[in-house]
This record gives sequence, C-alpha cells and structure tokens, in this order.
Amino acid sequence: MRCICEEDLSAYADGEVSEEEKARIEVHLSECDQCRKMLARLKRTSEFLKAAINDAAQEADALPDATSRILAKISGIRPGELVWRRMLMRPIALAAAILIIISLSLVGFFAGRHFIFKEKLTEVKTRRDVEVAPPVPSEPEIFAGAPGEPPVIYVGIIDAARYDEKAKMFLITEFDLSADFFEPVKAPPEEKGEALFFTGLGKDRPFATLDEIMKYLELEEPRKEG
Amino acid sequence: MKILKRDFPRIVKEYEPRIRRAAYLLTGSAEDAEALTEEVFVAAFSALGRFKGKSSVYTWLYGILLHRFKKALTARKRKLKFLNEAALAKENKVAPSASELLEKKELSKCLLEAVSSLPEKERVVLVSFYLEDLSYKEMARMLKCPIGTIKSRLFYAKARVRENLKSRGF
Repeated sequence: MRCICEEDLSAYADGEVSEEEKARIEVHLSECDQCRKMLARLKRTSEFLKAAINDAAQEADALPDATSRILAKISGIRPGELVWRRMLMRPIALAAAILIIISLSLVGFFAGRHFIFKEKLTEVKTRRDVEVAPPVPSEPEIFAGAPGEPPVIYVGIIDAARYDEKAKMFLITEFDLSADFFEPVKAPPEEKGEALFFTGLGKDRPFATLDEIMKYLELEEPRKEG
Repeated sequence: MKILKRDFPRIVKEYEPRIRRAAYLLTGSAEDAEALTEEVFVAAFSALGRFKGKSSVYTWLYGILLHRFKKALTARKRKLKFLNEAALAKENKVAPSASELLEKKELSKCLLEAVSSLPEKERVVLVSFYLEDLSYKEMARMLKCPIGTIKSRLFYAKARVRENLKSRGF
C-alpha cells in the first residue's frame, strides 16, 4: 500500500483535489493511520496559518488610510496620461516601441500583404496607447499557453522586440504585462487598436506569427498584392 | 462593465483597506505597504480604460498589486524601497491590555517575518490563498501557471512558514 505524498495530502486538506483524486485519497486514508495523522497535522497547520495570516493582516488597519493621498495624487490627471508621460520619460523605450511599429509595417509591406493588423498598429500609434514600462527580465513561460490549447491573446506592453526572419515570427525580448495582465483577452479587444497584443502557443513557441494571430482573431485574410 | 473616472474615488475608498492589508502581508512592512497601496491605485487609475469587467474590481486591483509587487522586487533586486512622497506611517502605539494580545502581536510579527523570508512566488500564493481565499484554479489563472505549480508552491510555503515559526517556539 503506497502512501499519499504529503503535497497531495496538503491539497486534499485545502479541498483542492478532483473528485477522482479525492476518492483515491479517502480509500487510502481509511486504511492508513500514518496518513490520517499527517492529514490531521496538515489541517492544523492550515487552520493556524489562516488565523495567523488574517490576524497579521489586520495590523494594516492601524496604518493611515491612503484614500485622500491617492485622490490628491490622481487629481488633475486624466486616465492614461501617466502612461504617456512615463513613456516620454524613457526615450530608449519609446524608440523601441516606434521601431517595433515601423518594423511591423515594413514586414507587412515586404511580405506583400495587406492586413488589418497593420492598421490596428497604426491606430495604436496615433492613439498613443502604447505603454512602455521599465524593462523587466523576460520570462517567456508566462506567455506559454498549455500545449494543444487555443492561443491566449494577452494585452501586453512591449519593451523590445525583433523580427526573426528565419522563424518569421516576432520575438518579444523584453516585455511587461498590462495592468490587467491576469485577464487574458480571448477575443479581439472591443475597441480597435487599444493596445498591442501578442500570443502564446506553448512553451516551444512563445509567440505566434502574424498570420496565426490574424486567423485566431478572425481578421481579414491576408491577400497578396498585385 | 467599465469604471468611470467619477466612480474612482468610491473604488479607492471601498478597496483601499483590503489592498493595504494584502500589501502589508506581501511586503512585511508598514512603509512599503503604504507606498505599494498608493502605487496600485495610481496605476489602476492610469489604466482605467483597460478594465473590461471580466473580473471583479477587487480581483483587478489585486492583480495590479501582485504585478507591482513583483516589479518592485525585480527592479530593486529584491529590496523593497519605494519612493514614498507622503508622510511615513506612524505606528499606532496601542498598549496591549492582555497577555493574550501581546502573544498575538508577537506571533503576527514573527509570521510577517516568516512570510517575508519566503521566495516571492511562494509568498504570493500563501497570501492569495489564506488572505484572499483564492482557489488553486483562480491562482493558476491569475499567475498564469499550471495548478500543479500552485499546489507545490503553496505546499512549500506552508512548510517553510511552519518550520520557521516552530523554530521560534510557536
């Protein structure tokens, strides 16, 4: 009889296992005293941590309310203005963003394709919605969708990117996620050109080709010019 | 549902205490928690147009908090030192009235230290699970990683905090 590993038991104590897993664990627990004891210990730890963490968090209630400070700070600025201001403060990042836009357009032109994506990017440029944040180390795994699953389109902020001729793919070398980064956008943005977006297609291919993005977004099929 | 600019003060008022609590646990410091809280709302305001109502307002704000927290750690080489223009917090000096309260305070202090000593990724899941009551699935979605990773991070976080507190006599 093989015992349940502590990690699985911990997830069981948290009520975070599948029905199937739950049944398997419960059968084992009915026969194994050692695992029952371990479960009891894990449950005690969990209850203790829950109470202690919530108690500790309550200490923050004694800190001064930041509401008035926050409201004073944002008064007089329009939503989005900070982003643009920040971008202007970072000439290198601004240059990188412009370079990306130009290279996207050029690639589209030389590939002999006409695509809406290019127009979207133009809108992005004119709307000044491209946020350029301080560089953060690349962590491509963040963008990797589970293999076999449909691509997830993330609204993101590109700090630096290059077009890989061989792979015919845009490789974002430095990026940041937008404020609502945890909310993958699985459909085209409601407003055209609201941000740059890119997609993850699995760990081996963190970024998709334009064709794939367009196909996924059901944009106009690329057509050959001339 | 979109958030209108005129609704923002209400949102700050409603969610600031919760964000402050989470920030306090994540940073383990009153000063950093205040600065981070402020940063979250200013960032949220500047990104108002991006909120599409696909999650609750609090989830959105909490996501920004985690993002800003991570950025601060990365940018400042894991040393949280925010530029806080506002006056720094003055700790409330409430005299403990009972020994139980004293013990509770001591435990909270040690717990904060134990949580702060965790790697960032473990700290985030611990706070998200115990303070924010997020499920493994919700955390996986928010942090963009497999459920198995969340399970493992949380398990190690719990074990480390437990051992840390145990070594201090709790």
